[in-house]
Amino acid sequence: MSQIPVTVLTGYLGAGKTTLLNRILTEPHGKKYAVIVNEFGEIGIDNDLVVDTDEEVFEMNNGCICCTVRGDLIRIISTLLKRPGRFDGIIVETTGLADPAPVAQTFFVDEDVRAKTQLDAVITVVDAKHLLLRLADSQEAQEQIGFADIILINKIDLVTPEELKQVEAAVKRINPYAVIHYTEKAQIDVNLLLDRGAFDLERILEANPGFLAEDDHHHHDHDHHHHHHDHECDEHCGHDHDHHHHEEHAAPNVIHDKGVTSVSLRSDKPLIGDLFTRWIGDLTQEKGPDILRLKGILAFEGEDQRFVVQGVHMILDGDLQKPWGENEARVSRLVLIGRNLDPKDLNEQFQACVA
Amino acid sequence: MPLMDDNGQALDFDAFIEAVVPVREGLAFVTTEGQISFGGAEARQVHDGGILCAAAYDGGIVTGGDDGCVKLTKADGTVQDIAELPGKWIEKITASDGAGIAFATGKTVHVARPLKGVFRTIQHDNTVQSLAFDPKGKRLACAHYNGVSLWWVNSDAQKPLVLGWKGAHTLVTWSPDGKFVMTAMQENSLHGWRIADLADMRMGGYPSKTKSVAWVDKGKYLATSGAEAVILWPFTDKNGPMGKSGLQRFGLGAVCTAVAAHPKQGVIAAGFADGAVLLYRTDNDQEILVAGRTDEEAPVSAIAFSRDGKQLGFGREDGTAGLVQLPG
Repeated sequence: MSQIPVTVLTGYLGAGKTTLLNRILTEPHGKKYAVIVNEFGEIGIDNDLVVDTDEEVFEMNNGCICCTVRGDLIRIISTLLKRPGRFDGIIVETTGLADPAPVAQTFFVDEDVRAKTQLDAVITVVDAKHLLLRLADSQEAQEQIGFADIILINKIDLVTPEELKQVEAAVKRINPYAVIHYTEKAQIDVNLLLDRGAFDLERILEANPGFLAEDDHHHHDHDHHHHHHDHECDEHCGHDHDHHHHEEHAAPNVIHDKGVTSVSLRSDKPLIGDLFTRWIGDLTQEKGPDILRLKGILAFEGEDQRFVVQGVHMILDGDLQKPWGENEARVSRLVLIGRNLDPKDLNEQFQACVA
Repeated sequence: MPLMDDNGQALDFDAFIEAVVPVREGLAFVTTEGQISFGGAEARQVHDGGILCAAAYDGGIVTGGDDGCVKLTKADGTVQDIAELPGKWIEKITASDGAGIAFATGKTVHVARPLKGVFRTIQHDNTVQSLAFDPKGKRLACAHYNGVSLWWVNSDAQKPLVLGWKGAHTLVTWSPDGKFVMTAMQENSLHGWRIADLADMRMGGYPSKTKSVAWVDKGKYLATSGAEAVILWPFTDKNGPMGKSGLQRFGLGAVCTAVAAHPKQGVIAAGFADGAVLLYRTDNDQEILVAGRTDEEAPVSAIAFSRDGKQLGFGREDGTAGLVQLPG
């Protein structure tokens, strides 16, 4: 049975989520989506596949303090999937203040949802005009960006090019790996958002060959990441692509010290599988609450397949997947997005797993 | 030779079988596409949308749909509207001929009777995930996050007796003597309470969620799905399963997905994730193959005995189903 793709749509109040959702529901893209929303009244579309819900977060009694799932999603998705064929995908809209973790964890933790659906992408809509203020006063706004696979910087018509650069720098400081689109009134080709397989690491690498593949200083100084990601801007991005002096403009104090950042780790030498899996397990046990997302593709000594790992807080999902290409460099890469991540410590621990 | 081959009628409803329900005339099949078939006859469209839940009532079937309707359907073709809540999903339903029909939409539970309509409405702090009347039809158990609320049906008391236990309770059932309330949980385990002293019991070891339970042989055992064999919990003394182990009973390797108990004898029917169906006698451990695994390996989603125990009906997620005449 094929897995139904699920897209999670997050974004702070007023960022433009509902505008985007209405666009997805009305544009002629030839696909049908079941939509799970929290603010029913705002959807201006009559569609029997729009389901209204109250977000209901369940803590799991599985010894993992930050393991939460969305009980309402488990119920609704299970019910929708008993009548397949009515839709091609599911879109979940979260409320503006929602922590995206329980939604994402639902797709790892619940066996029924996991068996029949595939988390396609977490899309976060941000308001170019108000993002910097939001980041300063809202933990959720940072987490929504930290969790994203795709970020829509919306309302770019309301800011100057200078302001937009600051917003972009702030977004990339938190999450340099998401694909960024720039929009006015959430105007975007829906095909760039849906059924992208963006949560799937393989697809990210294919769609974005620069992902994690930069030069050596990369993993030592994550403040410089965004130098290398100019190509993530798509054709909707009408502004100047010269990013080389963002640091000076990026109002570094806007995000306080406990802000969400990312750390990227890399090794050209293979790792010892046992050491790595033990380390990543211990790390997520110990620092799980601080780790929003982690993604990695690892080369293990004596193993011809790539080890692909991803995680949300303490939930880890790792598997051997498809063999390395014959002429492919067996480079191990791991990205963590979260709070209180010390790049130096993490790199030392990671390098200790090298064979 | 599977029992289906000689004594069974193979059916195909081309829609997920949500429930098989004992009715006055035998068995009825309920699909998620809003249809009901009595005794395997051509399915009739009852809801304008999907059916989300079903229960036996007054010789017929009550169903709740995503059209917001609760309907009572009988084999003679009559369909009676019990309630209509436009825009709501009626997600859970249970019924007792004495007490009435209870159904849940979100955090709200309504209790209704034909003609009379809704006569009791109960609010909870969390979504109600399962409902069950006690055997006398006087109390209603509503399972939700962090426990079960027990309400007296014919009282306006504003506060329930809450059986608390952390976590999401997704299924609830009363023992036939009314002395125990048992739940299945999100975390692949069961929980239970002895009503006399509210003693807790916890039963684990399931590789997946328990979605179906049945009280066997007047309540001697609770048969449960969720493992590679049917797990029976003994309720043979006042302590129930406390301090005892679950008995792993029959199975062919696939996860059990649905169980039903014979109304008169110690016989259990079980359906599995690969589509197979088995009968099992508790007195002599005899197993009978009713249907083998299917090529599509569509899980069995519903199973039931008729009220006289002479028929067994089952249905699968892919819409295939069977109606079997049982040997005396």
